[in-house]
Amino acid sequence: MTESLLTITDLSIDSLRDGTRRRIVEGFNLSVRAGEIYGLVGESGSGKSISMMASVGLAAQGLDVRSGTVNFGTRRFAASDQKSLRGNLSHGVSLLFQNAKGALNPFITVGKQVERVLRRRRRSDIQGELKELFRVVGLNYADLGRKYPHQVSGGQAQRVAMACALATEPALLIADEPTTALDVTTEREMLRFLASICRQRNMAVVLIAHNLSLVSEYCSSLSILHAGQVVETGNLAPIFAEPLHPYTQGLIAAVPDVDSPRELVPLIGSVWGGSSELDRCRFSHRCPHAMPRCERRIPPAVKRDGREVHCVLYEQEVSA
Amino acid sequence: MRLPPFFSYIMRRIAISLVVLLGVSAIAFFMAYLLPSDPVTSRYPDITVEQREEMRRQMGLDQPLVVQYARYMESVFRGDFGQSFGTGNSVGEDLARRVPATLELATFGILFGVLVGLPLGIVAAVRRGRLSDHIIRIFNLMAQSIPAFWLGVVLIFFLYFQLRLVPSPIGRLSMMHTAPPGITGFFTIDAVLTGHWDTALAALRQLMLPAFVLGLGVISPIVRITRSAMGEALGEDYITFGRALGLRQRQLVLGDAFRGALVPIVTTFGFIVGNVFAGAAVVETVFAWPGLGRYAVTAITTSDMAPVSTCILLIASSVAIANLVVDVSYALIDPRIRHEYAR
Ligand code: SF4
Repeated sequence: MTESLLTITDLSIDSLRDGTRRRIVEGFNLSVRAGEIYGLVGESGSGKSISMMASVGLAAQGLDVRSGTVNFGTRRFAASDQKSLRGNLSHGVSLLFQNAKGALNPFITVGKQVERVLRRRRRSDIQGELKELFRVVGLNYADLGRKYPHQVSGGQAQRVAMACALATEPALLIADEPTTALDVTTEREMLRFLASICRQRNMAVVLIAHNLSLVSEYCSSLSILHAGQVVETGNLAPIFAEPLHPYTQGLIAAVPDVDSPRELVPLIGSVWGGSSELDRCRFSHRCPHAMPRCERRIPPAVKRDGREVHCVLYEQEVSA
Repeated sequence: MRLPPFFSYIMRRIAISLVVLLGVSAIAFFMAYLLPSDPVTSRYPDITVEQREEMRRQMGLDQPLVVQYARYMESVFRGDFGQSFGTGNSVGEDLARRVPATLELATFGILFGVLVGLPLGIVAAVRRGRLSDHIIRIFNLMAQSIPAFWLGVVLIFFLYFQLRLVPSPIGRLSMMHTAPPGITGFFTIDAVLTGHWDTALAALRQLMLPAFVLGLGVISPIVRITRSAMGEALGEDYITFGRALGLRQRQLVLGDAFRGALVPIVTTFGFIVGNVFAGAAVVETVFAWPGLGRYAVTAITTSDMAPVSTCILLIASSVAIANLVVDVSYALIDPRIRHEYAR
C-alpha cells in the first residue's frame, strides 16, 4: 500500500452564522493515497465540501475550525491555521468547483486565466505550455483562448478550470461535484476524462458527490458523511457488496441503475432534522434501527473487513 | 456600412440623454416661472401699474406660457441663454467665467473623496469585522454627519482667523495674483501649463479647503458601496479558486475582486456627481467661490429667471453626461455587458 498523501485527522468545524455557534463537522477523518480517486459522499449540507475546503485553508467566512490536523506529504499543519494551510497547500492541491463558470473570472479571457496561473510558476515557453494544457483538457486554444467565460459552454468552462488546476501541477485535486451543473452525457465524459488524467499524472482526486452511483464507477475508496459525521469509510468493493451502516444501506438501495445516475434518497427526514446535541449518532432521527443507546454518545469506529463503520449495531458484535 | 455595436450602443445612450435633457429644460423653465415672486416687481418695486404692464410686455411675459417656452428653447439652441438682471451680463458670459470655477472645485473635491474613499472601502471589505473595519465605519459616520456649511465655517475660523494656516476665503485667487491665461479654465492647471508656479500654488491653497469640505461628502457613499461591493466580490467562487491556484492576495483583491466590484461603484459615482453639484452651492457660498452654485442661489433669491433655468439645465446636463459616462464604462468594465449589446 502506498504512503498516504493527504491525511485529515479529527477535523471539527463550527458555523457562526446568525450569531449562534453550531457544530457542523465533527471528528472528520480522511486518508487519501497518492494517485487514487477517493469518493466523499453525502447529501447536500452534510459538510463534505466544507470539510475539504477547510483542510486546504479555504474555509468560508463565518466558519470556525476548532480542531484537526492535516498531513500533506511529509508536512503537518494545524487545521485552525487556515492561513499557513492555504499558503502551503496551494502548490500541491487544486480545486474544481461545481459551478465552473463561477470559478472563472468573468472579466478575463479563458486563455489569460490559464496563462496567469502558469506565470505564477515562472517558467519559460509559457505560450507553448498554454497550448499544450488546452490540448490536454481537450480544448483548442486557437478557438477558445480569446473567449470570455460567459462565451463558452459549461463543459468547456469546467475544462478551462481544469487547465487552471493542472497548471499548478497538483499532487491532489479536490473535485467538488464538478459535474453537477452539466448534462448527463457531458458529466460522464468529464469524469472519464478526469480519471484518465489522474492515472497519467499520478494525481490523487477527492471526488465530492451526493450521488453514490457516480462515485462507485471511478473510486477505489470512499467515505460516507452524514450531518458532519463520517458514518462509514473504506474500500469501495466491500462497502458496495455489504453496506453496514444503515445510512449507507439507504443510499445504496437508492441507487437505481448505474446508467441513469441521479439523486434518489429514500431516506425520510433531512440531514439536520435531529437534535443538535453532539454526543450522539446524528442519524438516529432517520434510522430504522435506532435505540436509546445510539443517543448516548458518538458511535465509535468499528473496523470490519477493510473499513470502519460508526454504528452501535456493530459495537455489540465486537463486545459479544 | 454597419456601425460597430459598441458605437451604436453609445449613440443610443446619447439619444436617450438628449430626450431627458429636453424634459429637464421644460421643467427648468416652468420651475423658474413658478417662483413665487414677479420678476418685474422684485426688480422695480416702485413703478406704477402701467409701467409694470409695459415692462412685462417688453419682456414677453404677457405671452402664453407655451409661447414663452418655445421662444426660450429657440434661443437656447442659438446659444443665447438670456440676460441676467442681477449682473447685467448675458447669462452665457456669466457662465463662461463661473462654470470652470465650479468644475475645478468639483473635480478636486471628487478626486479627494474618491482617493480617500476607495482605499478605505477596500480595507474595510478585506478586514471585515476587524478593528480597522470598525474604525473606518466610525470615521465614515462622522464624515457623513458633519454638515458642509458648519464644517466650512469652523475650518475658516480655526485655520484662517486663528492659525493663519490658509489664505483668506475670498474665492479662487488672493488679491496678489492675477488669473492665469485661460486654457482649461482650471486656475491650477492653467498656471502650471503656463509656468506660473507661484500662481498655481496660490490657486491650490485657495482650493484646498473648499475642495476638502466638498469631498468629505463624497467619501462616505464611496466607502459604503466599495465595502459592500468588494465584500460580495471577495466571496465569489473565482476569488476562492484564484486563492487555491496560488494567485497573490494583492492581485486577487486589487485586480480580480475590485474589477468585480467596479460596476456598483461606478453606478454610485454617477449619483455622487449630481450630489456634488448640489453641494457646491453651499460650499461656494461659505468660501465666496465665484461658481455656478453661488450664481444660482443669488439668481433664485432675486427671481432672476434666465440664470435660474440655465443653471438647472446645466446641472441636469452634467448629471446626464455623468450617467452617459457611467453607462459607457459599464461596457468597458464588463465583457458580459459589452457582448450583450453586440447581439
Ligand atoms: S448508531 Fe444507532 S441510530 Fe445510528 S445508525 Fe447505528 S443504529 Fe442507527
